[in-house]
Amino acid sequence: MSRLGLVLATWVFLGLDLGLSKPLLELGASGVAPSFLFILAAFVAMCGTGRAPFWTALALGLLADLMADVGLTSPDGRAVIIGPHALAFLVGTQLIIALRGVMIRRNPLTLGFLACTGAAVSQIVLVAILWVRMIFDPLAISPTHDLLVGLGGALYTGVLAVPLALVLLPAATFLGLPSQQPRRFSRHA
Amino acid sequence: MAPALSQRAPTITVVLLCVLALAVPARFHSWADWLQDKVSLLAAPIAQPLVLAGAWLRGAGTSMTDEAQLAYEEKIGFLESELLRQRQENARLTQVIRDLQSGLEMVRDQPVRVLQAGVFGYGTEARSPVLRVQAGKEQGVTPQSFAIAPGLQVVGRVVASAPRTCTLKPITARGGEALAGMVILSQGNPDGLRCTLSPTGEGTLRGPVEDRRDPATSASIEPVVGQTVRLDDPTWPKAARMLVLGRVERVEPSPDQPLRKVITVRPTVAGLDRLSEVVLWTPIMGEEARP
Repeated sequence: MSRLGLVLATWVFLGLDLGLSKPLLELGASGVAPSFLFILAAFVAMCGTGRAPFWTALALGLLADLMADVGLTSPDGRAVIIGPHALAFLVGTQLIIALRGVMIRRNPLTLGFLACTGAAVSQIVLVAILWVRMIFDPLAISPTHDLLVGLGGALYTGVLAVPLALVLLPAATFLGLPSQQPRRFSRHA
Repeated sequence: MAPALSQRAPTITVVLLCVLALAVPARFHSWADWLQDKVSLLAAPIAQPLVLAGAWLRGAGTSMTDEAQLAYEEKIGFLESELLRQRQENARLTQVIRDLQSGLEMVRDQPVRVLQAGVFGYGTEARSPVLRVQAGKEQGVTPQSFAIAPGLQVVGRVVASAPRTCTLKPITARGGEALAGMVILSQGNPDGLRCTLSPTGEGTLRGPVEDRRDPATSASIEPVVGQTVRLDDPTWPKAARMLVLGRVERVEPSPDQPLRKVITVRPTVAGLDRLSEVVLWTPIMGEEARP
């Protein structure tokens, strides 16, 4: 896998997450917004080999942790907590790795489906971790509400992944991933 | 040895993450703020153009094309706030004179440093919306700094600052602090109805209003939809007093005390957690404030 390609792609998708996801793509004031970082993690999990999906999910999850302030009811107001998103991304991408064997990876809808299911599981894990943390941290969260928002965001992520797949699939070789494009006169379908 | 370690690296990493995520309290994660600042700086070159593009596509709240009209409206807003501040200051000075006569210490006024800064990112969690601003300690931002939007609308306070960036928490963010405000009953009169407003999480503030009666008629003085609500909170810097929190959108009877009213206030600028630029006000303290 090409580390330079992955770093560049991460930089672009992080910018999309920070600059477009919430400001432009959020559904009203509901908080439901897609996650570009998870779409990239899902793509690498779908196409990557070896340990690449694991380390990519870990790195992208850590970036998501760094960019996501968690509200506190204490005077501090907010905090950056390392770990919840990273673990959530890891679990979500493990599901994708388990499912990819029965999917047609060339199809853009596949990335949409995998991103949606992976993100849904990821959000469940994330909310569960934050719910456990409420035992010893003064977190300003509502687990039920946040779970519903997260599941809505997972669906949104899946929908957004379909058009992004049209860009990512041809760019797989740039990331050092096996090409997902059909080859002429290929022995295998 | 090395191959064994590389085989165990994923397991060790997952265990370490589980410990950090599930067992280490938030106050021990403060070292991550430094990392957040560095990552924010790296992402800013690509995030901010997208923020501006998003604001343009959205047709963001206040049009910046008619700059002269905008400047004029801001000037009027500034003068109105200044008038209320001066009248409040007059009332305070009268009290200070009385206090001096009993030997109490006088508190000096507070000048501010004004800095316009762009927003390059937003908190990615719906549970805690924050704004990441391209101004930090090197530009004079301090924990006392706060941000306003066009029309002198209060946006929020700085909750974290790094050398070149800072994080703002909007006043409408869910879980945010309660604010003491004042419903202005008539233009230019700083003696309005006091209220305590808390964020609802839906872009508005809500809270009870004091029960006051007209001394002449004993009739209840009630807030009216459309009245301006201004900040009058002693926990905020003096320079923030009488800035705009929003307008009264709804008046309802209090569920606990039917004779009292509860108001819902909506900021005059839509989407405080999605602004593309803000103006930071930083009170100037001590020696720096001397002419």
